[in-house]
This record gives sequence, structure tokens and C-alpha cells, in this order.
Amino acid sequence: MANSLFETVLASTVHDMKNSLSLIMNQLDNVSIDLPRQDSQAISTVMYEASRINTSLMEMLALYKLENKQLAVHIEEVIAIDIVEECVAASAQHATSRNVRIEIDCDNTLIWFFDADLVSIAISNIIGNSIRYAESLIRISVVAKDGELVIHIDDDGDGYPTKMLDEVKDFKSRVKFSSGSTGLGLYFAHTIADCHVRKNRRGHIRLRNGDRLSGGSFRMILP
Amino acid sequence: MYNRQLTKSRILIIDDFSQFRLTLIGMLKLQGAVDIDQAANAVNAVNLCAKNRYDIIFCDYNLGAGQDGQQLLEELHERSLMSRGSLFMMVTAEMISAQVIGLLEYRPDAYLAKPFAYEQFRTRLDRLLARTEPLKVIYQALDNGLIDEAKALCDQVQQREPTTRFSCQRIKSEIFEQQQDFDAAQAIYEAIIKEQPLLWTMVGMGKFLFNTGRYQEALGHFQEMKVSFPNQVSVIDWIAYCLEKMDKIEESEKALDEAIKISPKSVTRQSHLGEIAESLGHYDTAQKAYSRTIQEGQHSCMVTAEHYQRYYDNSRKAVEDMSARQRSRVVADTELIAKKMERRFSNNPTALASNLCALATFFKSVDRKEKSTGFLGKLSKTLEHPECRVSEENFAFIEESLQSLSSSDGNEKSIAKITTRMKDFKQAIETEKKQDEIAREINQQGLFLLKQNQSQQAMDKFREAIDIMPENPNYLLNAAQMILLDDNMRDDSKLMTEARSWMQRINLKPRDQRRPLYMMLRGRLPNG
Repeated sequence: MANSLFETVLASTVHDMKNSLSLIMNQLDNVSIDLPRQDSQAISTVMYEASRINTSLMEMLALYKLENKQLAVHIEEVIAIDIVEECVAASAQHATSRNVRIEIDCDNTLIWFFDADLVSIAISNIIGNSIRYAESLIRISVVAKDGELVIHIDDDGDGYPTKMLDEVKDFKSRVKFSSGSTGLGLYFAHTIADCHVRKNRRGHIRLRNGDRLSGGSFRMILP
Repeated sequence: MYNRQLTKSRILIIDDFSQFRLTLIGMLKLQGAVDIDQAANAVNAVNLCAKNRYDIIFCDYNLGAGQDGQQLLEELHERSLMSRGSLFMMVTAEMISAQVIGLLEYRPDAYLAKPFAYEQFRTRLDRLLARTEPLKVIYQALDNGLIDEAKALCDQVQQREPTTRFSCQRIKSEIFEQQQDFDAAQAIYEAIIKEQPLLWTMVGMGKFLFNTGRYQEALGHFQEMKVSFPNQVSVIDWIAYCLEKMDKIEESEKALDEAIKISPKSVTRQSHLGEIAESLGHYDTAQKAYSRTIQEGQHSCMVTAEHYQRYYDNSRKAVEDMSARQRSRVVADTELIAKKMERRFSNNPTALASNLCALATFFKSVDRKEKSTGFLGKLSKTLEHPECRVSEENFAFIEESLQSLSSSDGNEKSIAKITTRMKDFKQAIETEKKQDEIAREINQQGLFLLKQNQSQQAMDKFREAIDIMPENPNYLLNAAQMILLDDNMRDDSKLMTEARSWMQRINLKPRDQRRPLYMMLRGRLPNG
């Protein structure tokens, strides 16, 4: 009973917060059109933070529901470029305001099988982080190879701290609330990839530095 | 920035929140949309859709009081108020759970998660329009009833635009199913399942087993699917259908109950549970199911007078085993539902009559004599109405009810009046029966002539049968298929108008055996 009450409260709180966020973001969209460039930069920061709250809410709800078996990955046919472009569009304004260019390299006809909603949330979050740490460039490339889809997100920033790379297998232990970055985004990406099982293979993520660009290199591998 | 396709599109926005509607309109106008209507609730939306054909519909899942977005989508489908190829976008604040609740056939084309920034919205919509554009030629062919051409187009489009592969295969499998070419549909599912067992192909495979009478195998298939596709309600619905066909009614009831726990808002599912529970004598379950049917469907045309009658009847049987407290709650509920029912059917004496009778009986059984007498009085008045009809089944029901009601004081006058009037109905029923026999005979002659390849004469016979019994689905289907399956006749616009009017008169329940034929013929009508 207590659990189901908690669930109801959780779900309706998230619902209300998202509705409020919706209004905030839409108002910001309206306002920013008529503003001089400087102010619109400030607005895009607010906008970005609002969308970060939203992503966190979605991740929280999704993780809770996955844990309680109320959510299962829904694997469907997905045109890869659609998902990537949508995720990029969501943070386009933020990237522009930070003078970061995002390049996409993905075959227009590539179709793969995965949960588009959940993977989108994960990828959007990773892109958002990359924008924060990139110097001026992010490159996203998507390839299908040996029965796996690999989504690369590389940036030209300083890269992941060495400690993060070492602990790559244990994201859960690294969710630390004392530091600014909780690593929740990576933990979420890991969890979502892990839920994708196809033909006896399991999805996963990899972190590296200086792979394709000088900075951090994130890869999500989906079977 | 302008999207030319959007400029040409007729758009409807449904949201109870005027601020969101305005925001969306603003975003759409920025992209070049001009023709935009809006509705604040499902009732207004249905009315608009009955008048106009929209190319794109944006609908918020949560519409406040009344129907939600999913219920609205089901109603638009059931009443054919949406064109093939129109886009339905469900806007939702919690996209994560919304996608499992609906029937597979009634899914929106896309979910749009709130909140969204303008740029994100634009990209999404551009994509979606670009992805569906190549399919339009196929929908056009289908709208013109050119089935073979549509099939060929599926292959051509897929070859030209590799990204449309799955959409094309899916449309093709639906065409095959409509034509009852189950083997061809199965071949499509099987090929895709080898690559990846997608939900629609797996359900399709189960439907194939079901449609070809292999209920046991179908059941096994859907039960396996329940594990690999958890929480998909349509899978559980199919398990219930299989069990019902296998005469395992009690287990079927359990499956439906499980589906309803996940998704209680579907009118079709609730009334199905009511039907099954009643047949098992589980009046308590049936009463609750019909109560939900009425509640969820109070703004929907999918709820009929019969649903109300089933509710009163099952309530009467259910209260016998109830505690005093439960009982008084059911009585209070029934009073409320009765009020709404009277308002709803105030212009429909035929629907009203059987319901008033059920109410009089119900209130007598719970010792509310004055209420019972009141409804009996209303029944007597309603039966006097010149447009009131009583079917054979309802005639028997009223007769039986009168017997139990006659023991109450104060009912004598009404009962005497009703008894006299019932003689008229008896006569009417007998006349109709005779006419029905005549019509059936004429229909038989038509079928015989058809076998002799005398189609013109057969057609005349079917028309004659329809003149006598204008609502009989068999005669209507026979006549309509003569026209709709003949390419020469289909070129005659006068005949097509006639066929359309016949098809519109046909009213079949969701699992009626004639429904596949009906759906196939409907597919051959221009604009469905």
C-alpha cells in the first residue's frame, strides 16, 4: 500500500513538474524570438537547464519503473538518423550559445531495432554533457558493424577524468551527490543499453579519451 | 523554414489547456501551417472530425474530464472519422507508459513528449511528414479501392525508399488480412520475425493462427508473447479471445480481468468482460464491468442502450448476494445512471422502453417500490409513443417483468395500459417476422440467381429484400458486395452512392463473424 501510494505521488508529481516545465520552455521560446542576441544567450542557458531538469525527471521515472518491472524495453524498427537528429535538435540552441558545432555522420537509410524513447533520453543527456565539456566540436557517428549498432559521441574537450574511465564497469557506485556531476546520465545510458538483448548479445557502453577527437569519447553499443 | 507539406495540411489540435493549444498553433504557424482548428475536449473533437477530414491531429493524452486521448483515437477509428494516412500525434507528459495501453490497431502514429523546444518539435514533425509522404500514393490507391495496385505500390515504394520497408510491409500485411488471404499475411510476418520479432509481426502471427482456427497454437503463441512483451494489453486481449473460442470461458474472464487491471478505460474491453461474466453467472463482475463501460463511454457513441440494460439487469442479480452497505451504494449509483440514461435517450423511445422496464424491475427487487412504480409509469408512457418499437427479445423481457411487477400495489393502472399496448407490439413483431421470412426467401432467390451468373437479376432481388428489411446486415452486405467487388459497377457513381448508403446502415459488433467481410468491403469504398 505504502509503495503504491509512493508511486502515485511520484508519478503525479513528475507529471505536474513536466507540465510546468512545458509552459516555462514554451514561454521562453516565445520570448527569445524578440530579444537581442545577448539576452537570448542567457535565455538559452535557462532553457538548457530546464531541459536538463526534464531529462532527469524522465530518467528517474524510467529507472524507478524499470526496477519495479513496470517498464519494459519496447524494441521497434527505428531509422537511426531520425533519433540522432531529434536528440541534436533538442540541444541545438544550447550548443549554438556555447559556440559548439555538432557534426552528424550517419547513413540516411540505416534501420536498427531498439527502444527509441529510452535510447533518445540517454543520448540527449550524453550530448548535453558533451556540450558542456567540448571546446568547439562534437561529432556523432552511427555505424552498424558485425551485428551491432554503435553510436559514437566524441568531443574536443579535456576528456573524462581517469578515475571515471577506470570505474567504467561500476557506474552505480560512482553516482556521487557531493560533486556537481552525479554520473546519473552515464548510469542511465548503461542501464538502458543493458536492457537491450538481441540474438544472445547484450548492449553496453564504453568510455575512452582521445578516440576520434581529442576529448571524451562515449560509445553506446546496441546488439 | 516553411514546410510545404504542412502548408497544404488541414490540422486539428486537441488539448484542454488553451495555453498549450496557442503555443502549438504558434509553432505550427512558424513552419507555414495555415489551416488549423482546435478543440478543448473529445466531444468537440469528434464533432469536428465528423465534419472535416484532417491530415494531422495533435491530441493531448490527458484531456481532463471526459474521454482521454486514447479513447478518442479508438472512437475516431471505430467511426471511420479519420482518413487512412492521416497522422495522429499523441502529446503526453509521461510518454513512457502511454504506449502499452491501446489496442495495437489503434496506436497513434507518434508520441510527442512534453515539454519540447521549438527546434525539437520542428525536426520531429519534418521527419514524420517526410517519412509518411512516400506512403501517400498507397493510401490513395486504397481510398480509390484499387487493392491490387496498392499492393504493387507497396513494393515499388519500398524499393525507391528503403526506409519505408517496414511501413510498406505492414500495410501490405493489413491488405492481405482484409482480403482474408491469411497465408500471404503470414509469410510477411514470418520473414520479419526472422530478422527481429517486432510486436506487430508477432501479434500478426498469432492472429494468423487464430483466424485459421488453430486456437490452441494461437493461445500458446500469445502466452509466450506475454513474457517477451510484458504489459502489452493487446496480447492479453488475444489470450482472452483464444480461451473463449476454446470454451474456457472462466479462464477467458480471468485474462480479460487482467487486461482491464492494466488498462481499464477501453469501452470495448469492459463490455466484453461484462458479456463474459454474465454468461458465467458472475453478476457482480458483470455489474462492475457494465458500470465502467457506461462511465468510460458516457461521451462516446460506442455505448448503446443495451449496455445500460445489461447494467440494470446485472445489478439486480448482483445485489442479492450483497451486504446492506454495498447494496445501498449500487442503488445510489443506479439512480444516477438512470438519470443520465433518460437524458441521453430522451429522443429514442425504443431504447428508453427496455431500459425503463429494467429499472422498474431493479427498484422493485431492492424494495424501492415508489421508484419502481415511477419507472413503470414512464414505461407505459414511452410505449404509447408512435415511434416506439419493441424487439422480440425485449417483448419477452417486458412480459416477464410485468409478472413480477404486478404484485405491487399501485401498479395496476400502468400494467393494464401496458398490457393493452403490448398487443400492438405482438402484432407488429408477427408482421415483421412474416416480412422477414419473405425477405429471406427473396434473398435466397438472389443468391441462386447469382450462382447462375444472372447478376443483374440477383442484384434486383437483393434490393427487394432490403426494401422489406432495411436494416438486415445480410441483405445489405449481399447487395453492397455485388457493386463493390465488380470493377465495372464501381465506375458508376450512382451505384457507388447506393453501396455507400447500404454500408453505412450496417452495424456489427466487434467480433461478429461478418465483420471481416464488412471491413474488406469498406476498404473498397472511396475514402473508407
